[in-house]
Amino acid sequence: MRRGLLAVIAVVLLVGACSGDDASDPTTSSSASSTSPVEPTTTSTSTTPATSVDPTTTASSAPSTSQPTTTPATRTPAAIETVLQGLLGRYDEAVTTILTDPRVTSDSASPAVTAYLALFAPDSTFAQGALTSWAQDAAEGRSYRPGPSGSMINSTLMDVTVASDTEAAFTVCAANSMQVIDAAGNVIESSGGVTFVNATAVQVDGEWLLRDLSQSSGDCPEPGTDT
Amino acid sequence: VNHARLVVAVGVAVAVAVGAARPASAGTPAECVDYSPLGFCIEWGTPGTEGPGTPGGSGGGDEPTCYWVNLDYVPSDSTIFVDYGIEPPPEGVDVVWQALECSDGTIGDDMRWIIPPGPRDIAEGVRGRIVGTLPGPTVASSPADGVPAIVGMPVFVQVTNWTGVVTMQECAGFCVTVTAVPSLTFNPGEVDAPPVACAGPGTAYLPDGPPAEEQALADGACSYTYRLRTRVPGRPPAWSGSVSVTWAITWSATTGATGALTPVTRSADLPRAVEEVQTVVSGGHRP
Repeated sequence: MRRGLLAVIAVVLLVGACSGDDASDPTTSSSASSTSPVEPTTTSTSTTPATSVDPTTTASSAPSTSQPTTTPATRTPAAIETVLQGLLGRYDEAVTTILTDPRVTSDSASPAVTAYLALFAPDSTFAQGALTSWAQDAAEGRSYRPGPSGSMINSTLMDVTVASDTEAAFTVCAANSMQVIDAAGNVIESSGGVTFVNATAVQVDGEWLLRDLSQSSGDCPEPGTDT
Repeated sequence: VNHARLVVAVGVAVAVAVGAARPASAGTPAECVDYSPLGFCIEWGTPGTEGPGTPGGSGGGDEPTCYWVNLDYVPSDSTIFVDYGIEPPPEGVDVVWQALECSDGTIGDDMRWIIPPGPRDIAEGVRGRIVGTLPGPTVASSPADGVPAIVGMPVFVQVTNWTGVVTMQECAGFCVTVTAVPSLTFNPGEVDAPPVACAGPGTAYLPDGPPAEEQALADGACSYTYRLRTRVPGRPPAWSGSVSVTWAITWSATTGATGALTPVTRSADLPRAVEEVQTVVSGGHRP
C-alpha cells in the first residue's frame, strides 16, 4: 500500500509543482510531499505565504512521541506540512495509547490524556468530546487492539490549504486496522481500510495545533494497492 | 492486489452511521456530537456554513454522510484480510460484513465485520441516514430578513422547508422504525427574551387577517415583539436572533423494544435590528 500511496502522492506533487502562483488567491493549497518518516524540525521561513511546494522537501510521518511543533514563522506550505505530519504522528500515538486502554480517560492527568490534549488548541471542546466518547467505551468495557497490519492508525497528510498565518485546512488518509474487544475479552468486531479525513489546524502562540478532524468521503489510496 | 470496488447492498440492514458532518451556523461554533473510535468527528451538532477543514470554520460543513452498510455477500477473497487489515472472523460465529457508503455516492475504503447488531444498533444506523436528510431551516419572516423591526410591533417567523415527521424503517429479521419529530424554536436574541416555542413550521403574518398583535397572541404563534431598540450606546446593531429546528428521534422494533436516540438540531441565524417610531401629533388644539 505504501508504494501505491507514494505513487499517488508523486502524481499530486507533479501537478502541484506545475501549478503557478496565484497572487489573487488568499489561500494557498499544496499537497504533502512525502510519506517517508522524517523528524519534524523547527523551521524558519519567510513571512510571505508561499504558493507552491518544493517537491524535494520531505514531510514527516513522525513516529516519535514528542517532537517540537513550535514554528515561530512557519507559513510556507512545505514547512506547515512538516509540522502537520508531525502532529499526525503524535496523534496516532496518542490515540493508539488511549484505544488500547480507554480507562485512562478517567484520569485527566494521565500521560495518555495529556499527550492527546497537547495536540489541540487549549480548552478544545473537540478534544474533550473525543475523550468523553472513549470514556464511554471504557464504561462499556470496550477496548481495542491492532489488527493484522500491526498498527491501529497510521495517518498520512495528503493536502494542505493555508488560509492565513494562523489557520490551515488539510486532508488526511488514515490507514486503520483494529479489533474491538468486549469486557469479556472477546473480539466482537474487526475493521480496517483507509479513512479520509478533513482537518483544521490553528497556530496558537507560534505553535500549530489541531482544531478538529472529521471523517468524510474523499480519495485515498485503495487498500492493498501496493501488493 | 486490486479489489474491485465493493458492491453494497442498500436496503438490507443498515448499521451505524459513521460520517455525518453538518454545516455550522454562521458565527456559531459547531460542536461534534459523535466520534469514530479513531477520534474523528462523524456528526456535527450545529448547522451553518463553515465546514471541517474549512478555514474560518468551527467544525461542521456540508459534507456527505457516511454509513456502515451491510454487504449482501461474505467476502471470499482472503487477501481482503491483508489488504484491509482485518482479522478473520472467529470460527463458527455468525458475523455481518459491512462497508462504508456515503450519501454522495462514494463507497469508502473501510470494511469491517461485526457481531450481528441488535435493534438499537440498527436504529442508530437508520438515525444516521435520517440525519443526512435533515436540512437547515430556510426562514421567512415578517418583517423580512434584514428589515428592521419596530418596537412594539410583532415579528413573525416561519420555516419554509419544514420536513414534518420523518420516518424510516429497516428490517433484518425484525424491523426497526425510526421516527424524527421536528419542533421549532425562535430565539429573538433580545436581552432577557425567552425562546419562543412555535407550533408546526411557524407563523406567517396574514396582511388581510386580524391585527398583527392579535395574530401574535394566537396559541403557538411563532412571533415575538421586540421591546428594545438597537443601534444605541450599549446595544448591538442588531439582536442576534436565530431559528432552530430540533428533531426528537425515537425508535421501535417489531420485537417490542423501543428507545430514544440523540436529537438533532439545525439552526439559522436571524439577526434583527430594531427601531423605534416616534409619533408626532400635529394640528391639535393648543389649550
